[in-house]
Amino acid sequence: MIALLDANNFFVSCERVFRPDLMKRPVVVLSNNDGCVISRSNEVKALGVPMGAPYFKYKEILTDHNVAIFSSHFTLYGDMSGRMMNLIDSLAPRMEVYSIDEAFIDLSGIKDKDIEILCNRIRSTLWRSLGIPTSIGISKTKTLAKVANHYAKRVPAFKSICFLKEDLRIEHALKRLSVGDVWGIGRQITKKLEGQGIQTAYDLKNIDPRCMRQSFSVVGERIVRELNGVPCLELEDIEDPKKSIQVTRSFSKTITELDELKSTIATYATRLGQKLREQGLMTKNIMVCIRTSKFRPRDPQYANSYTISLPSFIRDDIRLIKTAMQALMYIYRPGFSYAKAGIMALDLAPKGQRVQLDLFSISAEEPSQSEKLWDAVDSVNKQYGRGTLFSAACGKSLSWKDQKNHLSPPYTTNWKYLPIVFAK
Amino acid sequence: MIYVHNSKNDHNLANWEREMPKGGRRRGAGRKPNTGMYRERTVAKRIPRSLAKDLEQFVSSLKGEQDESNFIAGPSVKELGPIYPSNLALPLFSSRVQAGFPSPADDYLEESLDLNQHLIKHPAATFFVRASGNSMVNVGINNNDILVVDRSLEPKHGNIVIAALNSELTVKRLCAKDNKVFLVPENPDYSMIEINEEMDFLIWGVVTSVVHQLKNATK
Repeated sequence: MIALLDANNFFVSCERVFRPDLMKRPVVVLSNNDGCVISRSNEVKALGVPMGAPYFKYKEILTDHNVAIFSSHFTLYGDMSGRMMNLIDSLAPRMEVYSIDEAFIDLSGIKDKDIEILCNRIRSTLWRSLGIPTSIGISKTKTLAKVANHYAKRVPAFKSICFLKEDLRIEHALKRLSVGDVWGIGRQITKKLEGQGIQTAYDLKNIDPRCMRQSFSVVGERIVRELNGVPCLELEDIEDPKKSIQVTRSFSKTITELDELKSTIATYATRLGQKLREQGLMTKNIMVCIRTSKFRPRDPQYANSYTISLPSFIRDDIRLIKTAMQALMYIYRPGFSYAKAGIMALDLAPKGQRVQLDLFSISAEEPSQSEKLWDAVDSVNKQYGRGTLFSAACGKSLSWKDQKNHLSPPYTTNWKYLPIVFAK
Repeated sequence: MIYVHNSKNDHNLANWEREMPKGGRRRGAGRKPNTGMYRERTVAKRIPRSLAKDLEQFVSSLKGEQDESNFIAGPSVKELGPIYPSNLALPLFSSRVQAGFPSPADDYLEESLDLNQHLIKHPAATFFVRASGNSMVNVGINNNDILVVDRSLEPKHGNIVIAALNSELTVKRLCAKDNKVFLVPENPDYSMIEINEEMDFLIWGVVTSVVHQLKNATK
């Protein structure tokens, strides 16, 4: 059996951790640039504000309902995500990070009764230790676990854990799920499938997988097989472009030298760059994680991650690598045998989309030129203090200070902004 | 310099505080807080000579970071790292720290001490918060102290806890008596709070240590 754990409204939940006053108040988190809604509390969902809704359109509704509004704060979300994954890793036999707020847990060899106990324990630990509510879907394959998770979130009777075990229940679940909600079935494919009269996940399950391969792709074929309970998908096969893109690997043998680790992560960063460009995306929040092998319990254990928020979107290898190296230096500790590392782009924007660029990347198409400019800016700022050139040169409208009007303090990553507890 | 104590031993600490010699700090003496080069408190530390240069560079890179509006500005690459074991380990000297001159045996370095390792048992579940107010001074929690909070621990009667009470985070001693729950201050000037069903109440975490930086040592 495989479980998919997913944090509920992750960004909103992170904002609520240090603000008990927000527990019962509706909350939204806006995308970079405060452009659109990217995370909603259940109360906001109930108001009918859709995912991705442009902020300016819904501003009035949100204000009328006293909704707390936050700019996206990826340093905080990255830190909370790293903690979440570490806790899951310490409780589960094997796990794979799938996105900033999702992880697959391999449950093979565990009795059904114990699976439910384990999943309950993981959920309650994440709630108590971090204050992050989660949902878990369990079934025979990754695709089915994703289906189960869909129900765990939406049907209150499941109490956030849905175990799709018997064939009849799986069938029932698939019949009620529209084909577009199946993991890995994008909008284009959905249209084509619906044209062929395939409406539900159950219809998709009953297609001949070989046909699927001919008319779509190998991944399409695998999805059909997975819906039939045959595990055959790797994490790399399906990526959710709405959430995050990552490159994570276990090393063939452990690495102790910093230089080797650096070149390995640089390779991953290059791969990440390729992926971003392939999908026409860019990113400005990059998380790097490293860990030792938990299968060598006698070795000293260490796992850590670090998120860097950049002032502008990037997708060129040079800056990806540079950022990754910077993040690595924050978390690298000598004396450990590292077994796994990863790099993740936490937020994504389509290349063509008009995003607010920083002053010096006039065009996102010219990374090398802006690279040179950045070096110049860096050296000026080094000499005269951080932000000098920004404040001197940026008009108010161009300044990226204006884009984050609702940013919460960096509670977990800056000594100056620790949460305040009252002794009064 | 810093002293750090575990709240387990806080009674000892309270005694220790009472036994402090007379005299000491005068109100209002010294430089006004947060006015130095870094606009916050600083500490003196012994570090290995080999690290001095790196540390100097790091500190000078922080100088430009003191702008209050910084977090509003958002993207910052140089925020302090996570609280997992740091790579700045302090050397342990073999003799105990006592008043008087250091023993010559201090020339032998035995091992490295990592304060994080000592204070943090569950890094993924540990958070730092800052205390504001004086209701807990008798357990050694002063205004502005940093508290180490382990959220993975089961809160027990007698623990110092962070509670989310009526939309605020508050630090108090947790007491359970006759099926009732109380949040008890450690200062006679404050009164205890009985938790009733109308209150929004949740125990956020258990305080394991207090970091109190002594003002007069840091100029």
